[in-house]
Amino acid sequence: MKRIILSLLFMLASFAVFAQSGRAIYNRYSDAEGVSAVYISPQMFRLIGRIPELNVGDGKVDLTPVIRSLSGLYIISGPMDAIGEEMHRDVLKMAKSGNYELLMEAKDDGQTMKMYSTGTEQTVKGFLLSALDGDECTFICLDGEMPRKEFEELIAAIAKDGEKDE
Amino acid sequence: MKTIEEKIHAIQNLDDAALEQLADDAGVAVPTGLGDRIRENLAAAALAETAGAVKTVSPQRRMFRRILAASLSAAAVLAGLVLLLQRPAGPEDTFDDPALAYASLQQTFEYISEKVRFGAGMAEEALPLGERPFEILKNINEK
Repeated sequence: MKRIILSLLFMLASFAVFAQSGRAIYNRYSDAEGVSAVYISPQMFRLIGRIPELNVGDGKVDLTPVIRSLSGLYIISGPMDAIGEEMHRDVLKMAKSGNYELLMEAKDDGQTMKMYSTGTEQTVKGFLLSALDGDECTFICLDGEMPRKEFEELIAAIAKDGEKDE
Repeated sequence: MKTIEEKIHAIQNLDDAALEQLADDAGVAVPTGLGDRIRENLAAAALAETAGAVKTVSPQRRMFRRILAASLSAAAVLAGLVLLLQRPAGPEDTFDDPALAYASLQQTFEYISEKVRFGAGMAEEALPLGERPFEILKNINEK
């Protein structure tokens, strides 16, 4: 009897974990009114990686080294009053249940931003960003097996590129 | 000549003093193995008492419990399978064109970097404020 109860509990726990993934949050909010949603599947990432000459654009950083290590991208962007607070709470639950580490948190002048990642010292297996900007909220989730050094260098390079543009 | 029943009745009616006298009487031959038989009987009586205190489950009840446990296990496995099979299918790709998907990915990384700059900028602004307490302490020490 104890084994049956334990197996039922394990099944319920695994179901609960599924409910707090990037895919679950995307499925929950992507059809909401006023929301724009983007999903890129692992198959699409493979197709991108196979394009022989990608038009990277002037001065833009080349992402192809990281693309092969990505397996999913989920983006939800929508009005704050419709989905903002609930989605932000779901993201926090996801970060907690998925053992995500808080990388950065900033709050200023109506803007709130939280960044999380999960993985090992060498690999980033997941990246989360939740941003509340005035009346707009954004959720970004990246899944994959990105080498941490390459990922950080990429973000830094794009940030530097952005500073030059400003 | 007393019958065996009369002899047994007479023995049963002996008091403790008479029993002790008989025990001390060396003339009475003790049957061989009597001590062992008495110990065995006492042990069997003790076991029977213990067994009576423990509730034994009948074979039918034991079978019923096994069937119930097996049924619940099977139901739990089936429920798990149904939940797994009913999981919502993965979302559809937003873009059909990989080049458009790449452009979206680029915009995403630019957005992430913008937020990183936002956070780093705030940290940079706060640094001089963090140095103030040290300056104050330094001034106090110099005085």
